[in-house]
Amino acid sequence: MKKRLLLLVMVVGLSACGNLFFDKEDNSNLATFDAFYQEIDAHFSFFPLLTINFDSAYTSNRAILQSNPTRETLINRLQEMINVLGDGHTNVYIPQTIRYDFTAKFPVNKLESIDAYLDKSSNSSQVMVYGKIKNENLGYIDITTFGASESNYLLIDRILRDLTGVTGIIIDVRSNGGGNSKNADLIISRFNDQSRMMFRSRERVGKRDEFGAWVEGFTTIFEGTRFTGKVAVLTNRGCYSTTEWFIAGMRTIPQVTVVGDTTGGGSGRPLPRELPNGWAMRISNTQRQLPEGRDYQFSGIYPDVPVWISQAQIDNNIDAILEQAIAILK
Amino acid sequence: MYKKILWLLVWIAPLSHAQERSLRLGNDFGVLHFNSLEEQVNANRYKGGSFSSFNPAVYILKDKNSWFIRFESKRQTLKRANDQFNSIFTIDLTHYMFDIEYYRKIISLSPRASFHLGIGQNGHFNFQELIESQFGFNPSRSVDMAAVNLSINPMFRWDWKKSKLYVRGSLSFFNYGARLNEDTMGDDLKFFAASLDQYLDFQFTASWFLALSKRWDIKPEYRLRYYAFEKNGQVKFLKQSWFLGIYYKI
Repeated sequence: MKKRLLLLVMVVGLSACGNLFFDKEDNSNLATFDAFYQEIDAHFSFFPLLTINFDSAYTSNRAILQSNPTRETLINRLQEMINVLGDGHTNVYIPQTIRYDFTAKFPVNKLESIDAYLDKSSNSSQVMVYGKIKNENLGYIDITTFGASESNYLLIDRILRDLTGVTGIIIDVRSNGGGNSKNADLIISRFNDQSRMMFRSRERVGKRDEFGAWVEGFTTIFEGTRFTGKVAVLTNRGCYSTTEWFIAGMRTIPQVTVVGDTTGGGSGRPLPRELPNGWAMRISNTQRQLPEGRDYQFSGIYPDVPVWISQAQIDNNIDAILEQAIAILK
Repeated sequence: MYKKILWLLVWIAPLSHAQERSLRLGNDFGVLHFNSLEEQVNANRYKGGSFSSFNPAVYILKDKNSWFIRFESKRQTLKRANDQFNSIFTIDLTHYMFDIEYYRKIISLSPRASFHLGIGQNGHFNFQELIESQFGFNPSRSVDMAAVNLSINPMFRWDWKKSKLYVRGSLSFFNYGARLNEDTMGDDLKFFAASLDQYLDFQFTASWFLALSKRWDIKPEYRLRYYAFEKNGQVKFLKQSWFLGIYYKI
């Protein structure tokens, strides 16, 4: 009996000691704010490009939160900190998103509708709207997002069959905020004739200015039917993240011209994290450079042919960017 | 649940038979529970456990020399340890472990109790992947592997007529492990060596062999393993198991 009791006491006692090995979590608003700062401090990859002192912003915002540690103050202070970082990939989900609006300071450069220019195909989907430009032998594809499931993007093969015989294609990715890079690669591959270096990336591995080695990324090729004619890609400040990945790939193809406005400038790969109070967050933790050696974070990818739509043109439903693309492809 | 199993095992002890043969082949069944703080996937603690059925082992239990060889594999979903929040994240853990331990009797403490000292190689491979229930998050993953993990192991043994109790500890003094390689954006592994001051790793195991017959043993066992180190992010990993083993004696 003594033997049984000894074993039982020992095992049950040890079973309960799991919590001893981990620090007790502090889920307060101040601890959440501090954890947010620590995550940024440990992982954010664009400190070398920042012009605002993030640490000073932390100190002043923390003092405000400390004097009034409510949920609302926490949200406001986090918004302030995210604005300081100026990165669309670094955000907090509460579940509504606290994010930096990278498009706010710039004109949209896209009309609400371009139906006046387009004979739209009835086979268009919500993800890919396509058709022929009226009175021209040119195709048009509007890719609204790269965030849908892969099967949505396989429509590109049907689109290219339907557009057989056109002399050029306009791919409109304006205001496409990104999604899954595999979907971008899939579309690139239908226009690409050979694998080319589209960018190089590196991951932050230590202090704010310590990174791993550069890893080159290459465009992919599709073995089936590809479009080999001239292509114009339409861009604006709403092009972000995977859409910039797409543009970075397309601009390596010789017959492609990028027309419109500079893109939003989000080159980092967002790392998912969780704050102590259960809110999710993302942090950019990589850098990415175009083949010419320029990181397009904050500054964006420049178009080959810069065009803006003036207010007068908007009022008259004139899409100057689309018209410039038509002129280039004719 | 595991406490009920333990109660049951304690009360079937009188059914046991005398211990005779030294080689035991068998498998452990029971609950395997994990606590993990793996900074490469997230900075908070996640935990989870469930029934584990494939944990084969070979034991050679002689008076002076003993060998313990065990394999363990488990795939487990871990949830945020602090369950007061509706987290959008869970962790998919794939865990493998392979232990070899050798002990030699040092001294008899009483007619029933003896002290043994041994060495061990405690290898493991953990792959963790953060699973998100919300669109917009990239998958995040980590590898924590100990290819060589040498330990010094003290053990106390109590011998009774129908059972033997082994209470073992282990403290690692050298580790050769691997993490995902940050130089290749995580596409392969980067190996590193660490000593005791950089890699804390210890185990506690209480195994009670009860002879059911001349050929069969059962073995209730409690095991706790904890390790912590910082290499490309902090890692704290606690594993506990409450097993019942069935062993054939040769």
